[in-house]
Amino acid sequence: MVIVDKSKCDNCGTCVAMCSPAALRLDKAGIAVSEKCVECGACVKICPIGAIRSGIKENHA
Amino acid sequence: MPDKKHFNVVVVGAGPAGANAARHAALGGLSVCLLDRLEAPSHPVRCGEGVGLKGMSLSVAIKPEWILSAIRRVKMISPSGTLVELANIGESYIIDRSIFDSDIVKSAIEAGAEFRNNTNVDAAERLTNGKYACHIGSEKVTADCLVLADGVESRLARDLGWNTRLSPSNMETCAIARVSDPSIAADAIEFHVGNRFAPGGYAWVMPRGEGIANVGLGILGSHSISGGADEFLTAFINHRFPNRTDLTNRNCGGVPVAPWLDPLVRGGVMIVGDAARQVNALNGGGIAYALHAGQLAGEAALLAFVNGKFDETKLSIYQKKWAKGHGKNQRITNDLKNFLITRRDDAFYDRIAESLKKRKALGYLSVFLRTFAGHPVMMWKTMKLFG
Ligand SMILES: Cc1cc2nc3c(=O)[nH]c(=O)nc-3n(C[C@H](O)[C@H](O)[C@H](O)COP(=O)(O)OP(=O)(O)OC[C@H]3O[C@@H](n4cnc5c(N)ncnc54)[C@H](O)[C@@H]3O)c2cc1C
Ligand code: SF4
Ligand code: SF4
Repeated sequence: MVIVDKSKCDNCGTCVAMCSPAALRLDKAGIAVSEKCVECGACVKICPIGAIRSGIKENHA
Repeated sequence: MPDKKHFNVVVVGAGPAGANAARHAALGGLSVCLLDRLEAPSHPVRCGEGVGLKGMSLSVAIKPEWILSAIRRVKMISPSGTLVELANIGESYIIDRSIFDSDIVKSAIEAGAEFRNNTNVDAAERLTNGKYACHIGSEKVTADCLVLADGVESRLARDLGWNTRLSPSNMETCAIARVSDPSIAADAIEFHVGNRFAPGGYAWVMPRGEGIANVGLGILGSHSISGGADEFLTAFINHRFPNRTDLTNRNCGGVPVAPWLDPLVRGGVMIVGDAARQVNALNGGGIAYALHAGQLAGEAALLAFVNGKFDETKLSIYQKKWAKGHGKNQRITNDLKNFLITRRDDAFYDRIAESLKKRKALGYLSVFLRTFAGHPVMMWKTMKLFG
């Protein structure tokens, strides 16, 4: 699963539109990532301020 | 009094598209609920705030209190710095979106719509009785007719059968800030084109007055790397405004640059605004389209209630009217954008700018005809759009 840095995230919603399996959602608490994430990287690439990073390393550490 | 739970129409998202849809449905006497997760729409403002009179006047009269500045000139700056000035640009303005957005919401409330702010819709579904439910925590609100105006995320549409997932080449990833600098003229918009400033997009300066402007840029998603838009904006601001006196309101956003979503109607659901990609893909402008689509959807909802009975097949008029009106031009903007992105590089823009820099009283038409010279289909589309 990707990791969202909530201190950076600006709640703009751009990443939500990029996610094929609909693993991202935005609500009043900010962006949440669900188990549906397949680590495709689309949201990481698109985030205008770099608030999302790949979680592959962290998840498997 | 307990909160009302069922409405003729529920609208999710109170930006220009949703608020105007709610207004028009309520004007005709329907019970309408307008929901937004924010305290007030457009907080924070993620927008250049530029609008053209022609596009807006289809739906609203621009109020003097919205206007921050009137635009008389457009400066196009090529990657190596050659300036081309357009004077023949049609009436355009920079408007204050926090005032504008809240006025449209107010007009929906005055028309009779109920506005619920701070209300996030978690999911939407069609019930077995054919009605729709919006889930808000453990509560739900139901409706005969649902309007999705939830902006660029366009997530709820997926619950109801649309695939609204965008590919990176159909999204501009944007960063924006407010800059104070003595070199900003209140009557001139600037477009800085080319990959140097914004790969697959451009940087812009939209004056909110003398010496202050919204400054931003968009990078095409396929050309972007993590955090790219923000870094390019820092570089652009350092390049264009080395003597700035202030830099505030930094934030970011996304602009869908794709053909409008087809279908716009499924069962009793209509989708409007950024959620339906009703954005000018050439310049990223979406306010005028959003207002217009909202109006068409609101009017379609009205037509679909006959003597209090809802006939969802009547909603198709919304898509028909959109396709005949702004919808045609929207598709053209996307075709022109695609051509520019794949076929034009920085050296090309520099050559065009050199060839046009001495011309007087230029308009968009002449500039784009020159840009697409030798490509008859693109020139013909340019004529349709700007002619
Ligand atoms: C950086 C940038 C610059 C721009 N500059 C310009 C410009 O100069 N001129 C121009 O014409 N256009 C511009 N645009 C485009 C313009 O801002 C949009 O096209 C316009 O706001 C679309 O209106 P809308 O009503 O469809 O969506 P929005 O204005 O995005 O409104 C959507 C609303 O839905 C709410 N929402 C979303 N999901 C939910 C949910 N699940 N539950 C409850 N509420 C929800 C959101 O809180 C939001 O208030 C710009 C966009 C960006 C990002
Ligand atoms: S794109 Fe980035 S800033 Fe925008 S909501 Fe997603 S994580 Fe946050
Ligand atoms: S990495 Fe891909 S699947 Fe995972 S949240 Fe991001 S866009 Fe969705």
